[in-house]
Amino acid sequence: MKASANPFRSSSVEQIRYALHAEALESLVDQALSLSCSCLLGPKGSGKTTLLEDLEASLQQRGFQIHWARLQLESTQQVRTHTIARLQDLGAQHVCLFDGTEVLNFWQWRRVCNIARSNRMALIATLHRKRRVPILLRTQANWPLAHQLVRQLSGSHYSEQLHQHAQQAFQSSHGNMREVFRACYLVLAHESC
Amino acid sequence: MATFSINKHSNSSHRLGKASGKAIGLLFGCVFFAMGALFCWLMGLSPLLKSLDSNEWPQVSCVIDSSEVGSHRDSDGTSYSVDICFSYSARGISYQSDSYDFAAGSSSGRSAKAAIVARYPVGSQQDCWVNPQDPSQAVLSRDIPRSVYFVIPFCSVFMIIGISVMLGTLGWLPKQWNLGFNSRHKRVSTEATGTQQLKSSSTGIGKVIGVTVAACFWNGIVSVFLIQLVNSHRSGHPDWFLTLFLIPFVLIGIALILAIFHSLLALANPKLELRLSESSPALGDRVQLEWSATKPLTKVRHLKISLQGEEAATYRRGTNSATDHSSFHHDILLELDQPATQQRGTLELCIPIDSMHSFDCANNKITWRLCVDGEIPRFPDIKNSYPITVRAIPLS
Amino acid sequence: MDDTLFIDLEQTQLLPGQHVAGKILWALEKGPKEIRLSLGWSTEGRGSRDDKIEAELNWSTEATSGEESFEFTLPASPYSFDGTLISLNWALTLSVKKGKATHQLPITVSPHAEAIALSAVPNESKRKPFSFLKR
Repeated sequence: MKASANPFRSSSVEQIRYALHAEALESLVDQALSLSCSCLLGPKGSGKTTLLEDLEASLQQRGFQIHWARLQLESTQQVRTHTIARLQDLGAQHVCLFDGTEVLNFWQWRRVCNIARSNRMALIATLHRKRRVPILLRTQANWPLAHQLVRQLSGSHYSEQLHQHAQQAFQSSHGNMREVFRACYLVLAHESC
Repeated sequence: MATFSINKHSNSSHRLGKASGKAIGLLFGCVFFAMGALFCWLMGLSPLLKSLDSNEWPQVSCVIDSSEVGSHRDSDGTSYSVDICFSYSARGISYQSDSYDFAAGSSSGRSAKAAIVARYPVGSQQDCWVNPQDPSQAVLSRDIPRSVYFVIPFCSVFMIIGISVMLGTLGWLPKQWNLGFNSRHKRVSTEATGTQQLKSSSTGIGKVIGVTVAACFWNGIVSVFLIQLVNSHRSGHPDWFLTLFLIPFVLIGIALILAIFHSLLALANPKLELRLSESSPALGDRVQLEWSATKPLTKVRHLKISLQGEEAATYRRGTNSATDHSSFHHDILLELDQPATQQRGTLELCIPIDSMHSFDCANNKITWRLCVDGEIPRFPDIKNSYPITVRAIPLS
Repeated sequence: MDDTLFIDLEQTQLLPGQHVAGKILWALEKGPKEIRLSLGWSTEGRGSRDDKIEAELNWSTEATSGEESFEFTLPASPYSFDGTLISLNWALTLSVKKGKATHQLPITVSPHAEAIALSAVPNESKRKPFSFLKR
């Protein structure tokens, strides 16, 4: 199966939204705006980035300017320092959505929180472990939800083999949805090869 | 009619490092390196060199004046030393020395030192070795102190860290070690570049260094506990929990040491030098590939040169990224059984016209390479890859 | 009236380096202020998306309807291709500054008219650990 036809290609996967009702989403936004720093806490591949993206639309509707900061494990120290420094330019009319703050060390994270407090902006971060900031939501994938998403994405390409690979990936990665989608992509990619 | 203008997306480099940051990095690196080097010299290299030097020292009879285990208490706990004084004569002059061996300082583990002291009772006649160039210097044992085997690798780690920090701060680390994103599409050149010798994507030396650093670091830490464990067994009070706990760590340490030998052996392998008549061939081009072995291929049982094309796709989400690879082209150019009779040759290489040229972007790449695989019985195999750039078909 | 944008191009299977001419047409409720036509490509598949705008053309106009001609020369690369993990697709995208109207015309840029198809082949030279001990 070619890349453009694979139902688990990245552009399709990224269209999946977090399963949260509109009222619950608004409630999260209210809570986040009342705090200077808050976080979405959960293991890898549990939907934190997806939920952060869902919060963006709601925050924009309320008239806030959104500033995205994204870091990864491979981000160099220079990139991390620069990303933190850019927060200084933000003010009370901004909301910073910071994806990947778990790669920051103790001092860097403290600096981020201090900037958010002193500049009176709201900061919503994604974290793998607790870091002394209020938790807006704990994200956690479960197999029924994962199975539902696999069926939804695969459509007519769903099969018992795909189900087995998805379940295996879910169990071996401890609920990492990215690994589930990756396994499904590769199964379909190498079908009839 | 309006025409397109090509947007030039300039990518100005950001000067993010400040001078003070660089100074701090250099200072940190210097301190790490200096501390490591100092301890390595004082407690590792110096005793080692002295011990090796003492092989020529003459043996002289001596009398033990005092023999006890010295105890030194500080904030870290109590450490012990072998405190033995002995008298001897050299060139008609009487001397006294208190050096048991060339080790510097004291260490934990009283029982081992007590056993040594017990071998040298007060008043007994023993043998010592005297420095012929400085008769006031003498030792009871010329053996290399055991602490040397642990101190040198342990301190080397600090020195390597210090050097790496300094080199990294100065920007002198090899480019491929710098982790950073390439956020631009690198357009493949349309110009031919002519004959060129191809470079292998990895040198064996890099692997040796990497494995050695890992082995030193791992075994340096494990050896601290291993020495305690051995001492506990020798003293008759074995620590079984520590024994069981350390087994997997020791096994990994042994595997790392074996990996050093494996990578060193691989360095001794013959290498193939590849030269393409056009180092950036275009799709559909026929080019000549000259290959020659740097050493005889007598040990190689099977040699293969192939052309491979591969897709590499990286998915980045959250803090993680995962890269998958898929080969779309695999063409065996040369396959020899018992290639000992052939040290060099020329092949014709045909780049398929209906395939995809090299493509390099932040998350998605199309790469081409020549792969050399050589099977050597009971020896690390030859496995080198030589990246090449395949251009698009030149516009007519 | 619905906003309508349209790119009129005789051929969508194009050659690298080809000189191409066409027209854009628009019919909008309100004046667009600016109409933008961009030529670019993007990747799709297993990996995160990469994209690039190779060329762009803008028309400043408040006219609610009209047509304009354009011409351009395609670059020599990259080709449109469809592999196991990656596919690269070229497209012309027409958009307006004021409003959400947009229109995209997929095109193929390849010396063989169709997108290059890359099929997976087994990778025989994957390293097998400790294989040297077996012999």
